[in-house]
Amino acid sequence: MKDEVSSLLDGALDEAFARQTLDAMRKNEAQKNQWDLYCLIGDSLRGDPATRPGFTDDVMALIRAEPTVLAPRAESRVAASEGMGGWSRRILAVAASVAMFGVVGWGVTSLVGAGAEQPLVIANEPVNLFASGDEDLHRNYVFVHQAMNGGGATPSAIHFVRTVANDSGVGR
Amino acid sequence: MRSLVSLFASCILLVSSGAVWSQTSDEALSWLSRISSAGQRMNYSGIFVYQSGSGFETSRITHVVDAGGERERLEVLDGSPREVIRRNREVKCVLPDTRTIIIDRSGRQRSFPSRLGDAHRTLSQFYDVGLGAVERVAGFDTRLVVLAPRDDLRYRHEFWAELSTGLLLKSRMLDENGNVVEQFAFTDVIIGDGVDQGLLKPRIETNDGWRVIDADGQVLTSGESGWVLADPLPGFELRSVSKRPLGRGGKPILHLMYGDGLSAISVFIEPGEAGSGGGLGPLASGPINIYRRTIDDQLITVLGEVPQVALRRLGDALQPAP
Repeated sequence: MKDEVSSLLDGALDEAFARQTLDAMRKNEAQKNQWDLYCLIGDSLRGDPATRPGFTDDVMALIRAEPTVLAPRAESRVAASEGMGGWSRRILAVAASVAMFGVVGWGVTSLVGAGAEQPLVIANEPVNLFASGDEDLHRNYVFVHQAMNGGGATPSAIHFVRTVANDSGVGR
Repeated sequence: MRSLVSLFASCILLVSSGAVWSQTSDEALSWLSRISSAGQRMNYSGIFVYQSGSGFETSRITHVVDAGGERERLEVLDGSPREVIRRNREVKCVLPDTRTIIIDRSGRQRSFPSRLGDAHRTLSQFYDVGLGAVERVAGFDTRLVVLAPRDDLRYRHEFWAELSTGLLLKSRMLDENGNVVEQFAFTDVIIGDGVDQGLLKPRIETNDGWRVIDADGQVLTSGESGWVLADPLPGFELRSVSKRPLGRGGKPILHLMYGDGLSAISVFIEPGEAGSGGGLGPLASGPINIYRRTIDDQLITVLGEVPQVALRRLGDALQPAP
């Protein structure tokens, strides 16, 4: 069940499974505590001043106050057209912090033996400044580039995710 | 006398550590071969998280090898539905938002490593290749393989390969500052038996009203390209030359591809003028950097999963053949 809680926070569960997981957490104190722990870890890593006593109780109170539950996703991936409510954004902020924890926790391993793990910093992402026509053109270029390159070591079609990713627009 | 002993001991240590490092490098290169092989011959299906910059997206991929060859399907699970379907040499990218299908039939060049000996030599020359710790990914034990660039023309690559099969379960690309450029990692995966082949079935319905972009190209020889590099980019060799109907209005464009055995740079050359499209200079599209320039009446677009400095050097070095 711990894996399910982690996957739920990472947005890796479909809606039905997410609902099932959240229902289970409401009934199981240990799983609720696991959720609390993951959230606190993420907040602490971010140096969030909200990691005060009672913070998680406040968050869970917000969850309990909402009748509808959706699987949390990384906040940057929430499209306006999906129309998610305010409580969802609060959940997403927590989920995003834990997802970021997942990135931080992976660390970097030195080539010459185990070095001290360092927190990862995410490289700046580009801003899309271009018209849709050029987005198509560059998407086609990226697709062909991936098709010819074979993805390097990345297995099979996974590298094509670059072509279809939402951020495949072009910017500076 | 004591200093001589110390010097002698230091030499022994240096030689022995060099021998150990050489063995580690060979072992790491062997792991790279296993990774490439496993991706082609294994059946697997799973959910992975793809990160580009600060954005995350979840997808499912299914890969099956049978009497009919290789089949696979990737579907994006977040946001608008998108999928990539591959059957042997043909790849289709289905984009319902724009009602577009992009098709390529040139087949993926198994360039990693296409020719083991040459690829290993190139990789060893331009990357420090080594092994890291055993770590768990998606519930499996994996071996970390690291390729650290020896210059500023490449990114650092890290691969986590499942111990028994060699299947790549996680990979990461970092820039010169240690920032994550791109990362993908399985959160749940089935390897071998138990793969649901029903997941290969396309989910998105298309019809004749969709726009179909056939990116398939006509292969040319290097001499037929009409372009040369005045200053070759270290480690990046010309791998292919083709002509494709991808230009504005479907006009043919020239496509050159350079590779160092791991990373690749594509060059697209078409008639154009300064200020056309999005402008010139350095650009970016997710983890792929782009550089544009014009020469004479030709627009040159250089792109690849490499640092901007590499694209600029290669792009600026391109000249029409004498």
